[in-house]
Formats: sequence, structure tokens, C-alpha cells
Amino acid sequence: MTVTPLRLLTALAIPLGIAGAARAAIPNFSFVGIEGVGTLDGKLNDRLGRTSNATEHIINIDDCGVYAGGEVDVTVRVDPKPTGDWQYAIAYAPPGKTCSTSDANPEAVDGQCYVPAAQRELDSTTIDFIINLDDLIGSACESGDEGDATLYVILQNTSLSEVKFESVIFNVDLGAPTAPTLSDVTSGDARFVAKWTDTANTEDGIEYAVYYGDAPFTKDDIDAVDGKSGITTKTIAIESGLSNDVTYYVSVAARDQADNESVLSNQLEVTPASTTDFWESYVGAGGKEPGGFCFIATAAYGTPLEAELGTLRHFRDEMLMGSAAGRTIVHGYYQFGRFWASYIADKPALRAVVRVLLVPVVWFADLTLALGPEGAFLALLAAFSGYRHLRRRARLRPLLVVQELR
Amino acid sequence: MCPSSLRAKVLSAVAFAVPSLFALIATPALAESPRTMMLELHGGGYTPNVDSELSGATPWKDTFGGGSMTMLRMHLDYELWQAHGTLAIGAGFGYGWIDGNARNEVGDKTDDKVGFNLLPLQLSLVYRWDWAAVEHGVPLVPYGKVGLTGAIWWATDAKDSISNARVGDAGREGQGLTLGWHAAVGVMFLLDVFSESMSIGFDNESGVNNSYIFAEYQHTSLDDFGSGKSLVLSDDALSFGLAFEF
Repeated sequence: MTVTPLRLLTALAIPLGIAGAARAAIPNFSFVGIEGVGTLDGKLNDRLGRTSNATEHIINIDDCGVYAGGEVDVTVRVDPKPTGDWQYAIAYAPPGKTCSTSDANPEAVDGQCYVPAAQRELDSTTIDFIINLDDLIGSACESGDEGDATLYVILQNTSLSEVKFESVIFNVDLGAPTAPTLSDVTSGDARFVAKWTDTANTEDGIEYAVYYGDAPFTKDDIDAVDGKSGITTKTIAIESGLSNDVTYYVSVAARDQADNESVLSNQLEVTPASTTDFWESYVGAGGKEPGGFCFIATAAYGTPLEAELGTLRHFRDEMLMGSAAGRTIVHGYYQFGRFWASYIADKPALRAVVRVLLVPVVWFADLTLALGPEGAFLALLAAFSGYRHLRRRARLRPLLVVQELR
Repeated sequence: MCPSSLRAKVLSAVAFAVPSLFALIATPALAESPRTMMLELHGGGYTPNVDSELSGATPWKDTFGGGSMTMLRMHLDYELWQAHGTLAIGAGFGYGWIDGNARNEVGDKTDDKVGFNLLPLQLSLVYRWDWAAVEHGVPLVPYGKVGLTGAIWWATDAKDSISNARVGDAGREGQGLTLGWHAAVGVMFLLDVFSESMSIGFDNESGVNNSYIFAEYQHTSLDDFGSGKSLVLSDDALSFGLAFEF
């Protein structure tokens, strides 16, 4: 989607209110929604801006094909109605064309203007009308054209000859971006890295999608192959769902802000293969370091298979490691934990003591995992408040008894 | 844990901590302010002697080549005694990292980038013979340190995740904590000799009494005190840096 002069002027004029007499906005105007009619019932894409107060309305190449020959029901609202006798008109023009807005009987300024309603009495706060999408789009889907179609809502005070209008812009983008050039695909361990160049697409908001499958494919097959979209860089590592020793065919496509996608780039092959990192190499060479943490708890519970240990590990990974304060606690535990772990490991009595001491910690971890940090805090707060209340009652009870005796 | 983001956070913490320490601890003074603490900022290399544990195999060298880790450290100590020298107790932490390439099945280097990260935490007893510098303006201060070290470490795979090596059905996580000790000797050069007025101004404005550059040679023994079941992360390493006494 590009910024056309009309779109720019409209965007500037509305907030600044600088249109003057020729661009008097309709007070209390709101966009209510768009619904497909007949064959388009339930077929409209969200990018058309179907919902209440939607401000962006886009029709791309795919939409153009789906919407061909169809109609939509558009609803706008003027609530409360302006006082006095008012007429309204609805008109719309395809990209590059305009309708007159000088009264409630709009006409084509430069050749094309469609008028579903003219000089109708404004007797309701809601205005409902039908738009023919072929007329709104105004071009063949494969034309490559791009521009802003305009929907006009015009109000005219019949006694004062006062005119106000609103315009709703539909960005009709029928131009697909150019395919990038896939320059390199390097293999890794159950992964590959794809790199591409793109000198043709200079507009803002260009994203890329990488497609890959274990057999050559065309644009028609992309629903059947794996892919990753929404990429804003020109390199991507694909690191999930790949198998080593399988040859993958990789292509990339560009996608503009209207979700128009280019044809596929050239296709390159890559075969991920197993690699050995430092730690795997160390372990493979007979290194004895077991790796991992949780020394005190492991020593206390004896075996890492204990359910309590699993709870503590989940608490560490899901709660503590998610915040800076939590990580500080974990690091502190790691810093000092091993001393204590080695000390208690061969002392069964001390292990039992530590195990008991860890019970409230495990309870707290269970509570936090079940309720979340906020829920656990509230639960503990409620428990503490309840405890204080009971304690206060217990303290006051002898005094109350004495008072009753008096 | 996301290793890359952790690396960024550690470096950010170091960058944030240095000026913050001055802001919090240092106080302006008109006369020379009391000396109570020393802050050292170290930069240097570090090459864990991992391969020494293994007979013949060289996983460290194979993955990371002959280069050493980049190691940045910060040390802060509190001066307990000042007479013929200064005795201090301090703590410090650092962050070291190195990137290398994974190997394929025949041992050739691949494009998969892997890494190793080290986060040493140290408690030290420090003695600085700064009597000559403080009393007579001799700009050299030899010093020694000894203390305990604990180092959190983690190895990353090509996906920048913690490496996990499978042995049979069990996985072994490529992260852990290794304990040990360290001893260091070094020499500091007093920068105040270049401009006495500037050093006085630095003290008045920021409370920094003395500024030094230094070189330090540190022996670190990191193998869980010879347990035989730990990653050997020991090394003798040289570091350089700036120190501020305030």
C-alpha cells in the first residue's frame, strides 16, 4: 500500500479540520460495518475493515478475485441526527475518480461515480446501502493498478443549503511485489539458514515468506508445504520441523502491506545434517561433568525423579527465570547451593531436615504454578488476613468474657 | 533461558553498574575524602582448560580453535585496614564468551555457530601495598588477591539454546556451576601523577581519591576442587583495566 496524495490529504484534513466549507465533516458520524451480500455472505476478509469504527479498508489481488461480481452492505451512523431538515446521498468512485460533494445529488467529476442513494430524507440515525465491489475496484484483478477508491456520505440541509460530507477510503492494491532473489541456503543440524536479496521492492512494509518442502513446488503448492511468514529481514534460520539427511527445496516470496504476495523466487536445495557442538563433543569424549543445577533439592530428595523436584524445576523455569529478580535468586542459589548440597548429601538426618524445610517452598511453588504469581500473592494475603483475624478474636475473647461477667 | 538475551543483559548490567556505583557511593568532598572502596574494571582473555580433563580428545580446541574467551570483569572491595598498605575484602563478577563452529560427522567445521559462556563470581581478600603511593607519590602499587570462585557456565548449540547431549535415554544439560579458588598478583599505576590538580578535582567532584591502570595475572582453579567429575574451567589469565579508589 502506498500513500497516495488523496489519502495523505484526507489523513491530514480530518484531524486538522481544515477542509472548510468544501470539507465540512458530518458531526457524530461513525462507520458501523460491512457485510457481504448473497455469494459474499461471510466471505469478506478482515482487511476490508468490516468492523465498527474500522479506519483501514484494503482490497488486494486475492480479494479482487473473491469479490468479483459481488456486493456488500455498508452501514454508517449519524447519531444523534443533526437538527433541521436534512437529505443524504451515498456515492462511491473507483481509484482515480471522484464524485461531486456540493449537494445531496452527487455526480461524476471525471467519468465514474456510482450513486446508490441521492436526496433521501435523513429519517434515521442509521444509513444502510449496497455497494457493487466491481464498480468500487474499477480495474481487472490482474491489472496491477493501485489507488484509493472513495465512498462518500453527503448530508444537505434543504432549508439552509448547508452541505456536510464524510469520505471512507478503500485502498485497492492490485499490484504484487517483485519476487526476491534467493542467494544462499546453508545447512545446519536440523536447520538451515536462507539469505536473499531484494532491490526491486522499495516500498515500506515489505515482508517476506520462506517456503520449503521435501519436493520441488510451485506457487500453487504453497498451502501444502511448510513456511514461515512475516519476516522483515533478508535472512532467516529455519530451526523447527526439519529432519537431518532430507533434502529440502526452498523459495522465498515478498509480501506487501496489502498482503499481496509475489511469485516465488528461484528455488535452492539444502540438506540439513547432524553437527556436534562443544558440549556434545565433550560428553562424547568421555567428559564426566553431569551438567545441570538443582543441587540442594537433588541432594535432599535423593533422586531427580521426585515429584517435588519436578515442581521446583518448573517453578524455576516458568516463574523465576522470567524476571530479573527471579534470575538473581536462581543465580544466588546456584552460587551457594552446591556447598550445602555436597555437605548434606551423605548425611541422611540433615537431608531429612532439609526435606522438611523445603516443604513450604514446594507448596509455594505449587501454589504459584497453579494460580500464577498474582493469584498466589492474593491467596497468601487472604490466608494471612484470616490468620490475623482469628488471632485477634482469640486475644479479645477473654476481655469480652470479662465484660459479659461484669 | 535465552543465552543471547542473557549476554546482552549481563553486558547492560555491567555498563549500568559502573556509573551507578559512583553515583550511589561516591560523595563530593572539599578536602581529600576518606578512602574506603576500590572498583576495578577488567578486560582480558580467558581460555578454560577443558581439554585437560580428557585424554587425547580436544573438544574445546576443536570447537573454538586456539582463541580465548573475551572476559570482562568488575571487582569491588571494601578497605578494612589502611596502614602499610591496604587490606580489603571484595567481590566481583564477570562475563566471558566465545563463539565457534560445530563439527560435522567427519570433524570438519560447519556453518553452525555454537558458543560457550562463563559467568564467574568471586570473593577475594586483597592486599595492596600502596603506602609508597599514598605517602610518597610513588606511582606503582603491587597487590595480591586470593579467594573463592564460582562460575556459572552454559554451552549453546546452533539454535542458540542450551546444548543438550544425549547419553542413552538421558540428556545432559550443557550448563552448570563449577567452584574453585583464585589467586592473583598485579601492579597498578597511579594516574594521579600525571595531573595532581585533576586528581584533586576528581576527588572533590566525585569522591574518587585515586585512579589507576593495572595489569593483573590471575590463576583460577575451577574444577570443583579437583572433584574429577567437573568441567575443568581453570586458567592462568592476564587482564588489564582501570581502577578507582573512593
